[in-house]
Amino acid sequence: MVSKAGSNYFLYVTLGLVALLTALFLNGCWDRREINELAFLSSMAVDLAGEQRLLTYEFVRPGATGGGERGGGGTLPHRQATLRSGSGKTIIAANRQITTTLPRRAYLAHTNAVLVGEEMARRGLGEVLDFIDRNPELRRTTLIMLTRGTAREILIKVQGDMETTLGKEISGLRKWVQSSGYGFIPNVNDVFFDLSNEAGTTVLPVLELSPQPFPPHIGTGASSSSGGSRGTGSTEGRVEEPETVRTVHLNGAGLFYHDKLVAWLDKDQVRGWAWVRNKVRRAVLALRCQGNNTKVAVDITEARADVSVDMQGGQLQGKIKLRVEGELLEQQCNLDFTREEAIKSLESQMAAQITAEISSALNQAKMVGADVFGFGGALHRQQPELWHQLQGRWNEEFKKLPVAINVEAKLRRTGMTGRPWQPGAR
Amino acid sequence: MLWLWRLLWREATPGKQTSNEHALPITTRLEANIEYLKKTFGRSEDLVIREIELPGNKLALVYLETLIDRDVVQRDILRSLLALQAIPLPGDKARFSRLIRARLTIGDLQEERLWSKIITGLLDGKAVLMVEGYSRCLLLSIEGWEKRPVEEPVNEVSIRGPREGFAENLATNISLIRRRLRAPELRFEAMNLGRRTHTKVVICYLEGLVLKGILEELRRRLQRIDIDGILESGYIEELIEDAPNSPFPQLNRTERPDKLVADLLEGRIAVLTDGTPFALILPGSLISQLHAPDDYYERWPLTIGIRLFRFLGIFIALLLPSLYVALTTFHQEMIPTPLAISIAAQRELVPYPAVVEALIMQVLFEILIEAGIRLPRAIGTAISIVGALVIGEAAVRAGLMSAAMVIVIAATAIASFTIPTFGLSQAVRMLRLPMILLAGFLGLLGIFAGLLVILIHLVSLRSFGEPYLSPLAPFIWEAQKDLVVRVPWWAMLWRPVLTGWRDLWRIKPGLHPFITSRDKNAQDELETQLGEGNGKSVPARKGKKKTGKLARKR
Repeated sequence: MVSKAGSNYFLYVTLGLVALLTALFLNGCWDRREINELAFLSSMAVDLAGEQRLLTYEFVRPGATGGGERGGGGTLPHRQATLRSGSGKTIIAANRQITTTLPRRAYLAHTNAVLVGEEMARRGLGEVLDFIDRNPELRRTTLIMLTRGTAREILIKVQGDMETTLGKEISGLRKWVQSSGYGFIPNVNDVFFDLSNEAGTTVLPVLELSPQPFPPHIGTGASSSSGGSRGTGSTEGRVEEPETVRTVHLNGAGLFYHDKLVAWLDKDQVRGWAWVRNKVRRAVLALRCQGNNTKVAVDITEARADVSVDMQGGQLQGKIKLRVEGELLEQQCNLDFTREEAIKSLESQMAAQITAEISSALNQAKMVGADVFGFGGALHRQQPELWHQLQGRWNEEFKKLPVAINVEAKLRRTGMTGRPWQPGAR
Repeated sequence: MLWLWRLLWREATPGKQTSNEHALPITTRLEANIEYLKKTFGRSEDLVIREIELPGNKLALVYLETLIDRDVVQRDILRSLLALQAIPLPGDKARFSRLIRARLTIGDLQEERLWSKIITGLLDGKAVLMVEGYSRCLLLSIEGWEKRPVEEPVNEVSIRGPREGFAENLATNISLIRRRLRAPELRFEAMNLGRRTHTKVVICYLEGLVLKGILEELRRRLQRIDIDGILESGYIEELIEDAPNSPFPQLNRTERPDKLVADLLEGRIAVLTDGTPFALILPGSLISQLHAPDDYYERWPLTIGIRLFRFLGIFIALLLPSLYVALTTFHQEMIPTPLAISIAAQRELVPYPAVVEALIMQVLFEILIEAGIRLPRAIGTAISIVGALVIGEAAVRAGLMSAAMVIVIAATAIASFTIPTFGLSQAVRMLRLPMILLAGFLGLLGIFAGLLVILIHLVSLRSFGEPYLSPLAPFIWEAQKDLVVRVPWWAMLWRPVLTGWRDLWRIKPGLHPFITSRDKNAQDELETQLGEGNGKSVPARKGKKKTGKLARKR
C-alpha cells in the first residue's frame, strides 16, 4: 500500500470522475438538438376562423438552400419553403397540431416575420403578441404585419423570385422600404412600445400580394443551356406569353386602437402619418410645373417633425411642425429652377402636398379616435396634470382636437446640374 | 500481496547503488592503478592504455579513444613526453610531475588523486597520465568528438533575429550565450546529474540580477535529483516543476540563445543540459510562452497586432470546435439565420451528432499531426496529400463530414500553431478534446465550466514562486507594457518586476528619439552637404541651402 492518504485521494478522484461521467450521460434529451433535426421557421401567419386560431408556418425547406453543391449556376432562387397549418382554440394549440405533421422540431428562433390576418386583427392583437412574447424561442425583433383578408392566403400564394422564403423577403423589404416614404415595418417590440404608450395605438403595415408581370425570357431552360440549337427550331426563340409572378408589396396600413384594428390607411395616408412620426427617410414628391401639366420631382432628403399640444383660450390645440429639405431630381418642363421665385413656388407646393397627406391621415385617425400621431404623449410631457384628467377619454378628446399643420419646406439642391437641358442652349 | 510488495521494495531500494565506490585515492604503483582501471572499465573496446618508458621513469597514458582528439595525443602529449628522453630527469616524483606539467603543451590540466575524479575525467574525454611511484596523476583536457554544428533552430523559427540555435554540445551552447552576453557577472554553475549518465547540467544566471531565493530553490531542487539517467532537459523539468500533474509547461524551454539571454536579462535563470539543444528557463509563465522573439525585434506598433492575433489564436485553438458544437446542438438561435440554414443543409447527410463529428475529426487530425512528426521526411508529402484529400475533400463528398466542420477543424489547427512554444500548443490541443465533450453534453454551460476549471487551475499554478498568470493575475500595471501591447524599447523602463526588481531600470529614461534644436541644426548641415554632393537636384539644393543659412544666422 502506498499510504492511507494516498489511497483516499485516488478513491475520491475516481469517485468524482465516475460521478461526473455518469452525470454527463444522464442528461438525456433535455436540450440537445442537432441543427439538422430542426425545421427553421421563416414566417408565420395567424388567422381567425370562427373561434379557431389558424396558424400557418412557412419553413425553410431542409437541404434546399446553401450547402455549396446545390444552388450554384444562374438559376433564379425559387421559393424554397414548405408550409404547414394547424388550428386550435389557442395559438399554442394550433402550434402543437403543426408539430404532429412535422418530422422535425419546429424551431421558431429564426422567424423573420409574423403576418396577422384581418379577422385576427379585428379581434385583437393581444393574444398574438402574448404568444410571441412568452415563447422563449420567438424574439421581439420579429417583424409583424397585417394583411387584408387572411394572412394564410399570402403565405400560400406568394411565389417570390428574389429570396427563398417570404420571411427573408419581408426582412429585406424592411431595410429599403423606408426610403420610399410610404412604408415601414415594425417589429414586435415596436408594437409593444406603441401600444403601451399614452394613446395606446399603433399602425401596422399591410402586406399584399401583387402580381408582377414576369419579364419574358427566350426559350426554355434546357435550350438556353445547349446554346447551339437556338434559332433552328420554330418554337424556340419565340417570345413567350408574359407570365405573372406573385410577389408581395406594402400597401397602406391598419390603424389600431388599443390592440384592435379599427381603420385602414391608404398608401398616401401612411406617408402622411410617417411624416409626423419621423419615419420618412427619403420620399419623392411629384410637383406641378408652373403653367402646364408637366411634373417636377423632388426628393425629400431630410424631414423632422415636432408634435405639440397647447392650451389656447381654454381649448386644446394640436400642432404639427414639420421641416423638410429636398433636392430637385427630375424635371419635365423647361423652367429654370435656379431662380429664387421658381424655387419658392416649388417649396410652397411641397409644403402644400405634405400638408394634404398629413391632414388626410389625420382625418382618418380622428374618425376612429386613434391618436397614432403622439398628441397624447406630447400633452403628457407638456402638461402632466391635464393629461391625467383627460387620459380616460383621450380618444374622444382627440376626435375633436383641432390640429394646425405647419410645414416648412426647403429646396436645397437641384441635382448635378442647375438649369434644365435645352436643345441648342449654347 | 503485501509481502510481495515488501520483498520487491527491499530488493529495489532506491539509492542502494551509491556513487561512493570510487572514493579511494590512487596508489603509487602503476601496475595496480592500471589493473584498477582495467577492472573498472572491463572489456571496453575504446579504453587505451599507453605505457611510456622514460629513463628512470614509467608512465601510463590512459584515455577513452572515442572521446579524445587523437591528433592532440600524438602532437602534444606523446611528442612532448618523448622529448623528455633527451634531458636528465629528476628522481623526485613530485618534481618530475611538475616538469611534465611544464613541458606538456596542453592548456587545461590538473592533478588529481581520487579515483572518482579520475574516472569522471576519463568519461568526460580527458586523458589520465599516471607516473610510477607518484600518488597523484595528471588529467589532461583533450576532448574531441563529433558534434553537430550550430544550426538554425528547428522549432522556434523567427523571421527577424539571429539564426543560431543551440546544439547538443554543452560547451557550444555556453559559448553561444557568452558571445551574446559579455558580462563578467554571467555565471555558469555546473553539476553532474544522473547516477549512470553523469550528465552535465549548468545553471546559468546573471549575478546581481538574479533573485537569490529562486536560485537557492533551484539548487535545492536540482540536488534532490537522484536518477540513473538524464537524456533530455524534460527529465529535469519533470523533477523540479511545481505542479507535476498539470498539462501546462511551467518552465519555458527554448533552443534560441537570443531568447535565453533576453530572459537572463530579466533576472530569470536558465538550466542547460548536456546532450540536448533545449534549455529550461525559470520561473516560467503562461504569458511569456505566448511571446516570440520577433516581437522584440520588429517594429512595435505592428507587434501589437501580431500579438493580438496570437492571443486570439490560443482561444480559437482551445474553443472553436467546442463553440461550433455548442452552437449547432444547443444554441441555434445564436447563429445568424442564413448561416444556421446553411449549416443545417450541410449537415443534412451527416450521420452522427455534431459532437461525434467533431471528435472524429479532431482525433483524426491529432493522428495526422503525430504521423507528420514521426514519419520519415521522404513520405511526408504522401501523407499530407492523403490527409488533405481524404479528410478534407472526400469525407465531405462522401457525406461523412460537413464542410463547415472541416473548416472549423482546419482553422483550429492553424490557430494552434500560432502559439510560439510547442509545449503550450500541445497542452491546448489536448485540452480541446474534453472541451468538445463538455460542449457536446452541456453546451455553452459546459464550455464555461471547462474554462473556469482551466482558469482556476492556471491561477493556482506557481513556477518557482512566480504566479503562472503573473502579469495578469496578480495584475501588475507596469508589466502590461509587455503583455499584449509591446511598447517600444525606450518606454519599457523596467524589467519584469517579479524577477528583475533587484535592478529594476532596464533602460535610461528619456531615450525617445526626437530631434532637439541642436540636433536639428546638425541635421540641416548634413542635408546641405548631401545636397551639394548631389549636384543634379538643383531646386532641392537651393531649398536646403536656405535652411542652412537660416540655421547659421541663428
